[in-house]
Amino acid sequence: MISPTVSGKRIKFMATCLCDGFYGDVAKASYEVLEHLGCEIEFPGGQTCCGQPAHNAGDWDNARKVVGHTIRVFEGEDPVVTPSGSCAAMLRHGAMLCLEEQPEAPEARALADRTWELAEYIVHGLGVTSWPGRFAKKVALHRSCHTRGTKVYDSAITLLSSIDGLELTEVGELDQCCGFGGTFCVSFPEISKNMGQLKIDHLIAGKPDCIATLDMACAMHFGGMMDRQKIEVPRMHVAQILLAALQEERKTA
Amino acid sequence: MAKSIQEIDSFAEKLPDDTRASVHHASKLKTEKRFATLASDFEEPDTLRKTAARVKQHTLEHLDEYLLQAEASLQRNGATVHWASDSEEANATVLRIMQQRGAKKMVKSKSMVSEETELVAYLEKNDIEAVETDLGEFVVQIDGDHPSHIVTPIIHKNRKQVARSFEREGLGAYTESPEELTAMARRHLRAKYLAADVGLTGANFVTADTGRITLVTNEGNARFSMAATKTLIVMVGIEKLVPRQSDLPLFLSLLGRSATGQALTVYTQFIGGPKLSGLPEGPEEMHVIFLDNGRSEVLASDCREILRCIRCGACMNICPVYRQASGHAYRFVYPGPVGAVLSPLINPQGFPQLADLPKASSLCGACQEVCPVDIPIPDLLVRLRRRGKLEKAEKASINTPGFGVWASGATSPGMWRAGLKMGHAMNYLPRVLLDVNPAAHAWQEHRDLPPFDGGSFRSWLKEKDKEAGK
Amino acid sequence: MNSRQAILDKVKAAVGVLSERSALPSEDEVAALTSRLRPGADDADSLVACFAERLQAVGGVLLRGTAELEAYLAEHGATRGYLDPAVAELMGPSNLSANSTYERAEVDAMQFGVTRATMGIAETGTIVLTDRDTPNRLAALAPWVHVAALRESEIVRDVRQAMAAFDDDPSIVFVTGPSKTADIEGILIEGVHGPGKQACLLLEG
Repeated sequence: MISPTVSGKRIKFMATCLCDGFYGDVAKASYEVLEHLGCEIEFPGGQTCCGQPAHNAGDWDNARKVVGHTIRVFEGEDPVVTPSGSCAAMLRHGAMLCLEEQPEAPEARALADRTWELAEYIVHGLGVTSWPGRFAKKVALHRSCHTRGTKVYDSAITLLSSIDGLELTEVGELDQCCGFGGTFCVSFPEISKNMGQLKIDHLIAGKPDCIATLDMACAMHFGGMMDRQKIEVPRMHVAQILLAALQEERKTA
Repeated sequence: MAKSIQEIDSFAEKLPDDTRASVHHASKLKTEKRFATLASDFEEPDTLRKTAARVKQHTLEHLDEYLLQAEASLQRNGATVHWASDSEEANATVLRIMQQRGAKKMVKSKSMVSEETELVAYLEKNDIEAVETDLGEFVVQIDGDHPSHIVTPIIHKNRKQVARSFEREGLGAYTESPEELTAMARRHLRAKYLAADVGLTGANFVTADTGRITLVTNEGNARFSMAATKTLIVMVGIEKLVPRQSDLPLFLSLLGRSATGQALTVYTQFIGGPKLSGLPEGPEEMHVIFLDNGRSEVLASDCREILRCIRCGACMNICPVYRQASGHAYRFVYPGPVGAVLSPLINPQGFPQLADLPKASSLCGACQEVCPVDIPIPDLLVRLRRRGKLEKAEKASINTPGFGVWASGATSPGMWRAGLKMGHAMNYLPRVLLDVNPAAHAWQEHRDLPPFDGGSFRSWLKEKDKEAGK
Repeated sequence: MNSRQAILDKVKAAVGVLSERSALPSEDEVAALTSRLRPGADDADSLVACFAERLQAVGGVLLRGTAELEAYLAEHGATRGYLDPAVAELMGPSNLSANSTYERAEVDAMQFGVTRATMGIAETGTIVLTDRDTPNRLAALAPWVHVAALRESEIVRDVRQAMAAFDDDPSIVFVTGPSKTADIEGILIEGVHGPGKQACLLLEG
């Protein structure tokens, strides 16, 4: 997939439904990071969900309604930036699939072309390849599946590895899914649980201080398993690590 | 509470630990080998995959022309071409060819299409001895089992199980040495080849321009059946064509590496008709049966890309669901991601019986990433989920929550914001109350739910904007 | 209506409704993708070296000259076997004692077969057999030890070059190492139905 091009620093921020409902701090961190980079950020208040849950479940009638709503909420020319590889993938690909041969297809295409995942926007949209500040921790970065075929994961590696004091641990079988998969995790709970366990084992093998993610959906699933098992390694969104590094810099400046 | 369970999930739950371990270990090993060879041999493996995809897609979209060209080329090479609309017709054609020669014994190479038609059972009913010669398929046959992988049929068995089967069938005393077990099969099957009248194989590719059947094996069983028997029958799906012989280096480069991590499979045969006259060994006649069996309907559907498949097995090797559930969970000849698309489309029981297969995926996309012909398997799975929903297929709907209420909320910003605020109440509810919802129950069985934090970002932003005087 | 017509009609109808159909990548585009030979490996010496290296990498054995052949057969206890007269002529005088015919009745007794190969492929360490040059299919397949005789000048660069040289021979077989299986627990075993030992007798010229 070729990453779309940028048109200035005015952006529309898509917080995602999970951050809206459960992970407000991730949305705040993303917003502050973008602010730090000098972006003029608009948060369209009518935003809800990208429509992926229904799309993936095959309920395209309902998915189309919600995707259509998202297209209208984010209409315009500005880049749409979201702290989720998964929601970005829905707008870049899934939306066009469920709207193929529908009247909204051209609008879906236009939105796809200007949608960015946060880390990818920072590195490839704004050209920022090193991050200031300090984060003196061992970090295991989870490669979420929806970053396949994009520059998202490599962008996160670029940013994280540039942070002073931050050490990335090795994570085995990066290409394996954590087992979330939307409704899959409740339709196939046994398989999902086993996949989650394998992922957790790989993530904590390098004894990290925290696990970094680009998708809160994955983290909600394997993090929920870790909480149940009392594995006390915190999960952080990459944006939260970027913000923490910034705050460290502000403190010392 | 009473749970309705997806069949594949329940199969995975009941799978013996050692079976799961065998499947997981072998699939992982092959995935690693694939990555290692493709990455070391080619700078841009993706370009190969994408070009091979275009060749196959073009072929499918002009399949009527290429079938006619292939038929003419095969006939020019001295082969007889037959056509079969379904399994019954394909099997009956094989039987007729054998009866015309008074043949009673067949040695058979591994062929997924003949698994699809259940050829061996059909022939046995008609007093023909048909022996599977691929080591894995042979074990499957003597055990009355089914293959659980398209490349390594007994990935679900270990050496002890094979040893007990061989002992039971009189091939030799119990041994846990794979070398000795292989030697027993070699002795036993060699006698079968030399006594057989007919060899039957599948085909990996048929070149339309030169009319050659391309066939790859590591064991040499297909080669042996074509050395020892006088009649060769090739059963092949109509989608197996490639336009030009010059396309084969590309496909062979991808097939061996994707399947087993080999640059080339040990034996790659290019068969262009019966043996030359005057030679002592080899088939005097050659028959090719083109089988449709639902493929023309797949071609007419919005899942036609699945017909690009070259049966390498890379998608099942890497699939995290296959690794947990194993091949038999998929209830038809083709397991794993390719099977989750293909099986519901071509299974004779019809779509609804296997409509749950496309649901058994986290849509992680690993399958497409390794597919040598870049089949958009996740997209096709979603298309089939839509079909399941539209046709109200019961098996597809098990444990899938409805989206009607969600869609109403997600298209009405006012309701959405109100919902975010009200959701906080959930933090004060005992979690056991959530258990009445099957989806929440499934979630909570192994995972905690994070505290609800609805609307906190929006309130923060509002406060921030107020401070900034916006 | 017969099945042939029924299938062709259904296929034609299926593709006929497509609003656009994809083009076939050109032969040049496809050809450019596949060779993995190292650059500069096109002269005769490096082709031979590359073939030798890759033959060994796939579990094959390279034999240079008759003495090595005799030693190899002795090492594997292969005393009874078949030597294709065409190879015997190519090799010249030797101490090798072997049958000059291969009979099906003796399949179990024949421990080795030395037959003529048509080409070698440097890219993959592959030996190419054809009906014309290897008229007895069983002799090159059934014995535990198979030795394919090849001249250095018959080594081609890659799979593409080998395929470009195909004539109308009805049975062209690429042999890349000994017969293999990993069906039992993924453990590699050599010598399932075909040779457990695959060698190439490479002769000058």
